[in-house]
Amino acid sequence: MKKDLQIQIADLSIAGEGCKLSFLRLLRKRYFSFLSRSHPVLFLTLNFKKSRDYLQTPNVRIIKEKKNGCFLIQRGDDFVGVIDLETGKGHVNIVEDIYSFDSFLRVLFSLVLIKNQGFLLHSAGIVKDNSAYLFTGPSFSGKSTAVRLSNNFPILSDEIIAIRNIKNNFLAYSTPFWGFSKFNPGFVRSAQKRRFARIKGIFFLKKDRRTHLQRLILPQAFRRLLGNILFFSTDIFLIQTVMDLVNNFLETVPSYELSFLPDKSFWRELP
Amino acid sequence: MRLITKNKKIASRIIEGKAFVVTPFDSTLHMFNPLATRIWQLLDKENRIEEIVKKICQEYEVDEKIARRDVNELINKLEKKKIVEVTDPERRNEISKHG
Repeated sequence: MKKDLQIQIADLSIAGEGCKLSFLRLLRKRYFSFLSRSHPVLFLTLNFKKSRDYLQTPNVRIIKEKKNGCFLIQRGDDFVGVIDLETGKGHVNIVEDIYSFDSFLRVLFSLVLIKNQGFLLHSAGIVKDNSAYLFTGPSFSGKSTAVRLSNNFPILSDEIIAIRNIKNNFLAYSTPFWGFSKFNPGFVRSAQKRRFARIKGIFFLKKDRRTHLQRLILPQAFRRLLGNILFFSTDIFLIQTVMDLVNNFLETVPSYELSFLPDKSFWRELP
Repeated sequence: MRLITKNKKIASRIIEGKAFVVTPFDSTLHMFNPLATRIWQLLDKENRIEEIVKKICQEYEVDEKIARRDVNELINKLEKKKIVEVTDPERRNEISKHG
């Protein structure tokens, strides 16, 4: 089968064909570190279109189709497609621009990961002593700041991390999805590599005048973590799967609230 | 006699004695207190309010009046949020009898 492009995140590879050469070059450059040749879990036929409504603020929809494992995914006029996770095939109509494609990839991987014991988490991920430290919270909570203050350590992302349960070990994987650090291309180029590490802990960020670490009990962490997962579906089975995964994750990985003063001293407080 | 059933279009999980319920139609996560969690668990086996009130009286050693008030208050809240469905077969029969 002809594959124009193959992108791998969290050891899950997705192949696509149907790109024009000029756009394909752009995509290969954008996702350079995440290109792959391993066997894809999903093969997509892509139909690109030119038009785009710049004024729309579309919501993402993932709707389960009648056929088992089949989902309709849509974001306004940006993209619409049917993904069959059982057969590993899909058809997608998508606007030919890098923003629509990046948004599509996030939505697609949020779905594919759930099927493979994983999820995408709004968090910064930093690797220290071969372990991943995940810093999570909503926008402006300090994820990019934590990354900026840790530039001597390998970075997984400053915005979205992929997490998977592999034989009861929760691993954090780098993604090509970046937040504010993307405005510093030199920094991203050096940081953006395909990496993974076993998760040492998850830290819910809270800006403060002092640095202080507090262990969270499971129900507190569950409520907070669920709110930071990239998840778009209203399908009961998928929601239940995510709830079970998150519970399993928090039983394995310790969680903390990290009140932090934005300077490098916060690393001294971490376990 | 009112009958209570959990809405099949919701997802839930009990974590360290607290029930978490997600209602996908409004994308909301609801966290239950210990009493609400216990009633939520009882709804798995029992759907008659009278039986749930009886169990709560036994387990929490409270007056029936208080237990009934608490159970009714919770069920009404859950019904408003479409987390449970409440039916009243007697009332339904009455309505069908009188057209």
